[in-house]
Amino acid sequence: MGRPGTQGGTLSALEAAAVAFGVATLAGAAWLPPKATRVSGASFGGLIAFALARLAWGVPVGALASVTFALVLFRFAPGAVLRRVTFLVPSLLLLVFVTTLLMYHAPGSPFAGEKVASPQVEAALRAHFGVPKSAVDFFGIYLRRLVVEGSLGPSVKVQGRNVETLLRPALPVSLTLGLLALVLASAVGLWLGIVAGLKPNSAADYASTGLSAIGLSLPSFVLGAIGIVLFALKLGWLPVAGWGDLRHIVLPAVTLALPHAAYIARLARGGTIEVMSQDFIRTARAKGLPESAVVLRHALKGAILPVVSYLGPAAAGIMTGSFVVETLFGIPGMGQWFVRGAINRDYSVVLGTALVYASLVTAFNLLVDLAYAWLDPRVRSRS
Amino acid sequence: MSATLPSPPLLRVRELTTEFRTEDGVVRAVDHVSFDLQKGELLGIVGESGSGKSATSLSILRLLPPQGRITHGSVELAGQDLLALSEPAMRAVRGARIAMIFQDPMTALNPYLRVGEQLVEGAVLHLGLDARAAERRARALLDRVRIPDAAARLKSYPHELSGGMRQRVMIAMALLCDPELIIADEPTTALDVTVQAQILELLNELRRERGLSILLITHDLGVVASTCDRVLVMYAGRVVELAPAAELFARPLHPYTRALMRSLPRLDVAPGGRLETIPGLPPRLDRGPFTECSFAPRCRFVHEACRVAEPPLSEDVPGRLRRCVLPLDQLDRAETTAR
Repeated sequence: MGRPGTQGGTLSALEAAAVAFGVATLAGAAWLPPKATRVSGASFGGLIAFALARLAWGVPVGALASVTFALVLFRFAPGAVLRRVTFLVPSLLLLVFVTTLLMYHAPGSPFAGEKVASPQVEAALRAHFGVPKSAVDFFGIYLRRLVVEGSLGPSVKVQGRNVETLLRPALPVSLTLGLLALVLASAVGLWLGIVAGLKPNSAADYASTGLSAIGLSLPSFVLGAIGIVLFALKLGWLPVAGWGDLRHIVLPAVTLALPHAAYIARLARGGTIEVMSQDFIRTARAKGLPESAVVLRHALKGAILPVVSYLGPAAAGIMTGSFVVETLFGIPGMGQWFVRGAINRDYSVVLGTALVYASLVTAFNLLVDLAYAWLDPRVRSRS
Repeated sequence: MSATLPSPPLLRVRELTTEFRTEDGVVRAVDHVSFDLQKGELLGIVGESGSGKSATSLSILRLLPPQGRITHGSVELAGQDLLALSEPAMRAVRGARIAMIFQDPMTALNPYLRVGEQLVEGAVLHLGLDARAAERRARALLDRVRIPDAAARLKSYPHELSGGMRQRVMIAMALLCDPELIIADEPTTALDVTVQAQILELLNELRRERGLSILLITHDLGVVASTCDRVLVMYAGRVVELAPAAELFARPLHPYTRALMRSLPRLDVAPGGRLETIPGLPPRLDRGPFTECSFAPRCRFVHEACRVAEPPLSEDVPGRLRRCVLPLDQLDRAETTAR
């Protein structure tokens, strides 16, 4: 990749000013009055709907659908949701811009290979793929493609393919793996944590706390390697790597889930102990309710609240974790494209994966917020 | 005492003793406490924090925290020994025959559930009502405890109600299965003074209306004076005095009760005058059995006889019990000279 200094160097004044402006816009959005948040949230929502609907049904129908969607949002969506959406579009823009800067300032470029191309050839390639020398120019071209053409741009290294055609088959793979890992982490973590929290300092508690300490301290590449050696090579129960049937998904999903299961177990244990010491639990017992009803009806909601608020960060963690795990198990998911794109300096691929990941994390965080408000009525009436 | 009353008591507590395991050793929070509660009677238990009044009430319902254990005594509800019941049989008593009202209705109500959901579950459990009938019953009770717009309140969450309203919900919840006995543990402590009076009046009304027996636990002598038939004074886990309320306030027979009444704020004390206090602290309860009167270290009338052994409860005046060895005339004389 050599040839440091072909690009990069220090941040230009224009770039620095643009980043500062982006950050200031985001901070400013927090001060918007509720009414303005409704308007901006609804229009941003309509914009996103247009981007998606146009791909499916073309421009006229897409425009109609997006306007309808924006009006519905404005009229019916809760304020908290519109506030989120208001932040969404500027943050995604900032994300794309900062990622562009980072890629341009890293040494190397998509055209710097072992075969040294002549300046004329490189200039022709740059023009063909829309990758100019300046980061700000590239940002402009990228945005125009995204908004006007609804495309994530051509890949430089996988020639003749657009990034969206590369990612389309990879996305369901990563989603399946990630969601399965998240469900697994929640189920195992909640079960371990609640069992431990109901009887603190019992044998079950020590077993669960010990297990979660192991889960927290083992990095996924060690865990994954141990899993491969034990279950694939020694016992031969599961395939070593690859993707295809259900047996392929077991080891990577467990590897991805385990650290989060461990952390969720800790949170659930703490939440359970906290809730079970509350006065209203004594009230429930004084009513003559059996212990199962005391736990399920009266304690569970409060006990899982800390876990619910961790699910957002957990989803982000599982996505970044999937870079390692997908590479380790040779899974054709988004993580592989991200890693390959970064190594090859394939700018559009990196930006495309980053955008998709960011949208997924934001959408998931929104769901988590809604779930939290649904669980805790005191939060609901505050917003 | 029960000799003067013809019917057998509803609640009969004998030598109830409850201990807690703590880091400093075993604390005997309730020490051989005995009393009767008649049908329709309102008995007050007064004492300062740590005197064992709440531990007594939790022992009756067998709702002690895991560190607590009843080590001795009996609790009989209409002749049935509650301490001998299996846990499922005890659950059929809780909420159905003995209901409890707790101190702080903010924390005692579940913040995650609607008032209606919390209110009806007892009726579904104990009376076998379906959801509709249980809700009708809950609404009628909310009306009875004078909560306006009961149907809407059933859909509210506890944090949407005022403190007094929440305590009314707790009372409605306690009444839900027509219990024979209500244990109210400091039901007014967390409320404004004006609301306190309303809640006490409501409890008293309900008692007369339904022939309820109420065990009212409080540290507030004013509450006791305005509502109770009889009063049990506790100190260091023991009963030190038991008397009809009017008689207790007219002439307390134990030095501790007298000291408590002297330390009440009074309207006839000149502004800027000092409030009287009881010197010292209650004794530690983790040091094994007492070898002297538990109040001796703080008693202004203490003499040698108090240091020999813990005095027994004695009926020096008919219908009244006190735990003091000082003869009554001496106590009265000593008090006049002390002033």
